[in-house]
Amino acid sequence: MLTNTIKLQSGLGLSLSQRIMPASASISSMMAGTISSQFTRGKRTKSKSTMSQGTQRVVGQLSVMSAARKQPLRLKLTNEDLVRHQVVHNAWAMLQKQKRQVREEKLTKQFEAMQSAMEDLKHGVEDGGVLFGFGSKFEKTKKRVSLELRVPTEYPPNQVWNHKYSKSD
Amino acid sequence: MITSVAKSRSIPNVVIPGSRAFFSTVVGGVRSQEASQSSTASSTINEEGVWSQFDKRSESLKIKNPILRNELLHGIDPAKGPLTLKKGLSKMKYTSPTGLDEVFPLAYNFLQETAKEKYSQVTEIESQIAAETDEAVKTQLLKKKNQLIIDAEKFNPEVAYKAQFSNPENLNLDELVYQYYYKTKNFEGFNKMLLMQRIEQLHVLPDAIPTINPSVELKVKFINESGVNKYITPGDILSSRATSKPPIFQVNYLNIDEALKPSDKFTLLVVNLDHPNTKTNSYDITLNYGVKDVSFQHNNQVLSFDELSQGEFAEYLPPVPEKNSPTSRFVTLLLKQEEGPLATEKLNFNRKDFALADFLTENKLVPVGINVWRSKWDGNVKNVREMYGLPNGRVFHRVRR
Amino acid sequence: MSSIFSLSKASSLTKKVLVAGKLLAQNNNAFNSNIPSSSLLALSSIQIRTSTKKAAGSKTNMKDSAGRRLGPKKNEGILVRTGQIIYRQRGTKIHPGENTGIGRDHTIYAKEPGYVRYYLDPFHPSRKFVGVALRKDLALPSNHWEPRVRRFGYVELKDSKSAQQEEEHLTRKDWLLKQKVDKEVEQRDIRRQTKKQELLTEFKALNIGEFSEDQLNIVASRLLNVQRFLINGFSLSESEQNVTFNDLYDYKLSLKRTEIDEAKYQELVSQYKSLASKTDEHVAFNAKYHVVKKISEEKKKAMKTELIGQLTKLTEQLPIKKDDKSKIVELITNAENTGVLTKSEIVRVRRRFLKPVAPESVAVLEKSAKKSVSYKRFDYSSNKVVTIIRSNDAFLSKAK
Repeated sequence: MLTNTIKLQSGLGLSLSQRIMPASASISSMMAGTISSQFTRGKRTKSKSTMSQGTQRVVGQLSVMSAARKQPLRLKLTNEDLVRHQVVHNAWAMLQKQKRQVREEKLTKQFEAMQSAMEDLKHGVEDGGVLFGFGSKFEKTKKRVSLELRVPTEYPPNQVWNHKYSKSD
Repeated sequence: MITSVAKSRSIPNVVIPGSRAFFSTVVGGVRSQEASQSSTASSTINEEGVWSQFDKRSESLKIKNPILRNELLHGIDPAKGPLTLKKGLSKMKYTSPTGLDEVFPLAYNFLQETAKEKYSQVTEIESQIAAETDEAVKTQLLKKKNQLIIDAEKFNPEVAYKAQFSNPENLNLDELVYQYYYKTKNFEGFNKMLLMQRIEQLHVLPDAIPTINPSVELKVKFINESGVNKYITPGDILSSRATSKPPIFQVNYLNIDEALKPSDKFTLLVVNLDHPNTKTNSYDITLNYGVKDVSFQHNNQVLSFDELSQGEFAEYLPPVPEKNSPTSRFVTLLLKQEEGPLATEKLNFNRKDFALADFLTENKLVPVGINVWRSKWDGNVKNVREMYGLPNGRVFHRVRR
Repeated sequence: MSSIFSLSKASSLTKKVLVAGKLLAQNNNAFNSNIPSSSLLALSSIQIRTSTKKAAGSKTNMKDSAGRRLGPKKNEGILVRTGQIIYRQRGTKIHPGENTGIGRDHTIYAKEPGYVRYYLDPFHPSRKFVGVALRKDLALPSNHWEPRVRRFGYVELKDSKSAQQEEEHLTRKDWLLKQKVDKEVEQRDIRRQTKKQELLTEFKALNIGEFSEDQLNIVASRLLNVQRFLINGFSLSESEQNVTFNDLYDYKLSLKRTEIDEAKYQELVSQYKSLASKTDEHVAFNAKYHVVKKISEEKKKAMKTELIGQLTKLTEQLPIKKDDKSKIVELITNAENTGVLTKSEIVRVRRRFLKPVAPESVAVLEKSAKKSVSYKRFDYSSNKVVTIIRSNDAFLSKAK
């Protein structure tokens, strides 16, 4: 038994959604005059895709068209408009460059401030490097964030956080 | 965000309402409702900015045609259509890309403000140069200044339009920005590549000089009764009639990093790399034309014969190839004189067997420009020989053995 | 022979089986002592019947060609003549280097006489090369930065008769071409002579001054040359400069040939220069390259504005009447002949003032009449094709 549902357009303009039966069944239904589509031997009644017929036709037509014809239309600019476009493009690029520079400068400053602070801890405070040790300590267990951390969802799991998580699990 | 950037970087403090939306509409080519609404707020270009001031800037940076200039700065009038399209139907059909007219003033004003800052930096550097005594530092500053002048003008739509769409022969190459455009687009983008290909393939390198990176464009044109008005393409085979009288040269100095000084002198040589020598069963280099102490101040300058005749140390001898000898290569070299003017009496050379490499090292000459043409025997060689009172040429056997 | 081969193969197979059986026996002895030794014996002496019938592979498999005698034909340092084979190979085991060529079957041969050198080239590190050095003392590869060592190879014809014969020799193609070229040159010279005469009469009509016959001849040839430069796109001043340069250079050459002495040369030059300046002062060319009287730039500008004013006045009343049309044509032709307008300006003025069809603001009819023309065109405002009926007045060619 086939279970694909397709839409058929009846002659009256009514769209019917119906379960297609094997050939014999559809013939009997045709005899009864319920569906006005003609049977042809060897015609595929089984449709693999779930697309509508209209969409399928478009897809078929597109597949035989050359790639060049499917390209979006090229913008045709006059010389004036080309230069105007270049101006806009350059302005945008320059703005981005300036922003990037500001960000990089800020990060450099932050890094340098951090470095000088650490230098102070190392040499300025005469505590035998205790504070520097605290400041530059790396955590041995890299368990700051649970590996199970997930994006908030409307249906969270029953056990939200596994506090006893270990790598061997 | 943008305003905060402006404050911290002391860049021109321009407020660009909804600029992100504008740019994205232009780049993506999709008109969003939000963008088209907010565009009505600010949409005029600043016509009192640096790019509209021509008291200090050259007039060549301006587009002369008022209609074209208006279209470039204020957009195309849909009622009249673009000036650059000729057909009435095309004019009528044309529409500018969506959103371009709205976003252009913002972009223009933004770039103009950065240009203004560049110009203020230029004045700063100029005062530094005036105070500086160290030559090395001075040249460094000069280099920086030139770059700033180019950066200030290269995004100016009027300049960009002229550089891209006008005849390169009419560009004012004394303006650094046009020099920059000509160098990148016309010279390095095409002419230099062609020239290098030809001189490599014709083995001008290394037969004439070991190598060269031309910083000056050297163009050669022959003026004779035929009236042909064309600079030769490197490697052209020219008839003996075409080359029977000395050529004129055009030079474009395109070394932006090192400006041309009035004291700079150049030597111009035309040499034949393929003069047969039956004694050694090989070839000699002959000197066909030699001019020293050539100077030029402006670009696109034509060095005519009359100007060159003052520094001429070897009169022009036309190519007169001999029958059945292979095609001869005539190389024109523009050489920079490292040590100022050359003294004629010190010049030591033999025209018939010209030691080119020795001549260059002895006189401290550095090749900066090059061009080449080829000549072979034709029916007119006899007449050219008669013109110059030269003896009859040798005739070689047709078959090489 | 093939049967022997198959037999030997078969016997080696039996051997292998026997060896395998022995190994198995050893293993069994070591680990599996419960198997009776009699069965082991039986295993070691199994009879194998090998094939005595040829299976396949005798038709083409036993062929072998004779050796192709590949390899070096000339070794390092050997003197070779042009065309001699240096190396025979399949594929390019060795690449052709300096003064050598490669054949269809990758055979390397000498292109110049000299000494064979096998070498490596740093520019192509994975290749081996063979080249020919022109002299015994030269090593290969030659220095990349130094001029190439080249052999001329042509022999000079010392015998004057054979030399002359060789010099006059033309290939068939060139000879055929020469006939045509000579004929055309002859015709061209005739054309030039007539043109020269035309220019001279035009020049004389300007009434600039008195000239001798010699001077007129110089002026005529000068005008002819200037005209040629103008046609080739030089400006008037450039053309005049070029012609002056060419003509003075000719005097210089005749001095060099010692046809004239220094004094005569100076005289000729000064005469030419004065003549040139005198003609250049008064002579210009119009858009059709005819000689006209030179007009100063300011005067030309004023004349242009006056002309444009007249033309605008004449075209104020649309459609243009026949009389007005002839007046306009006359004005433009006059400007063209006097050299007031350049070629491009004439085109522009004609386009502006002599429109073949008047704009649709005038001479449009509601209904078709006897003397009317109707045409269809697309109306962009309504996006429809519309029929327009115009009276004959709308067309310049039918103006009354």
